[in-house]
Amino acid sequence: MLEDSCYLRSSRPLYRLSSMKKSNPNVRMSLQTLRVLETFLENPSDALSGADVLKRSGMASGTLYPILLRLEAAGWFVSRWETIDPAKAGRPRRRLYRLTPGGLQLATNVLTSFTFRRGLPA
Amino acid sequence: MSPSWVDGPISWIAQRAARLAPEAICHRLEEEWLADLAALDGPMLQLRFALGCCLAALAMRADRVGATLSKNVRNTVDDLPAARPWDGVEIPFARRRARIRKEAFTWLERMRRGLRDEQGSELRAWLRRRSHRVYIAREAAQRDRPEDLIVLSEIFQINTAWVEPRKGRSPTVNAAAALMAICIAAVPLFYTHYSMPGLILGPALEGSFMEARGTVYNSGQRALRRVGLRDGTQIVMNRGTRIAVLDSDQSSSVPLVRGEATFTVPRQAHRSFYLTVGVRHFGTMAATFNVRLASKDTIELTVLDGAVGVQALSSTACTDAARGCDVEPPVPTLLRARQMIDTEPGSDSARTLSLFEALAQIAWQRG
Repeated sequence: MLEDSCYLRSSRPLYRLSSMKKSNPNVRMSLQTLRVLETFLENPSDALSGADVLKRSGMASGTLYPILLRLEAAGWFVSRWETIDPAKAGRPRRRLYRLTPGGLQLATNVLTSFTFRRGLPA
Repeated sequence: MSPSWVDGPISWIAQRAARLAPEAICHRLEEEWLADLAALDGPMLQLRFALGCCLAALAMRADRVGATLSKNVRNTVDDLPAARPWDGVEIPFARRRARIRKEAFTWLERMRRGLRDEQGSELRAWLRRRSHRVYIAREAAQRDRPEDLIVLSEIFQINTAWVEPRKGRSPTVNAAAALMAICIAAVPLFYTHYSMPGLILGPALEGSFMEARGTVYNSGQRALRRVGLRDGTQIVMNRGTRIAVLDSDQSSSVPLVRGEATFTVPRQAHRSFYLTVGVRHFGTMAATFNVRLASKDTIELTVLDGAVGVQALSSTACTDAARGCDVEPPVPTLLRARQMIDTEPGSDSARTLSLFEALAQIAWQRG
């Protein structure tokens, strides 16, 4: 769960991000996952639907939704249905994802660590 | 916005994709993906999204995130698929299934909180129907609540097949797919049959349909055969010939399925003789004639003797005759003795033969 963030403190080089699943069974970290986290970190308090994340990150739906569900299952995100009346709004309700406080901290750490280790300006 | 005619197929792809996902989250994903699909502009973007959903569903199935999510995320009635007022098409029984599922979920939640006295009898009454028992057991299993299953098993016997994850497609889907495949396969067959009768299903369908109601006579590949009918008609069949005889009080009807035969029809009051050859139908009151089915559309009919009347009949009249209904006898005016009609697609040519030519038509009877 959220407490299991030991891999963030590990000294593994971050070009092996994808292999981190061996030490962390909950979240498989990949560049696409980082892009999703980055999108949410632009406005961490915002709740975004899958379509919003697609538009902002430019990712494919086939990549995005497994990541969203994986992060939700690991407790980084919570999701809820949009509270609208579909008949009045003229559109279906959307599923909105939001970073949890723990997920926000972990996501920030991961992205900071990644940019630091890749030698990019933070 | 995308044109309306592409919305349906793209939504269908997204819906089907959601059903590929783990069962615990497939309803949620279906609604979520349809909502996100509606938020995208342009058919190409929507199509790309829908196809991506298929890959996403397969990835989720491989990840097995469904079980984890159903454990971690608080399931509420809100998570059940919502009614969709914007799609007017209702799938048969889907509304009933959704209602039972919702009721099952409500009962499970009540059981978790603890049932009041009057609710116990209500639950037992609700569980009288087998479909309700199946749905509540399945719901409990899908939400990974073994304790609910234990409580339910004390109330009624739970069949393990209800709660085991289904392997492969459901029997209903398989049956529907098989039916659709049969329909698709039958379309070209029937189209060919009706546009070019006899090419594919002529002997197979038409012959068997007629033969099923009468007596079938076959001659061998190396021998002739003589057949006498109840009404006195004599038939000499050439090698490799197949006919069926259908008798009624008013008429005899003989479909010639293949080959060649000579018919000697005696004159009888109030009785007609009908012949079906390929796609042509003939009727006669009395005649001796030879008929040869050269190919599916080429028929040679030679009248040899007597005052003969031959007329092409409509297929309806011939079918009526075969059923034993009264059919107006044909007017015997078309061919007389030693006249021959040669029918080919689109044209019928009648001509008078010399005696030698007429006898040559039945030379096969002498080997």
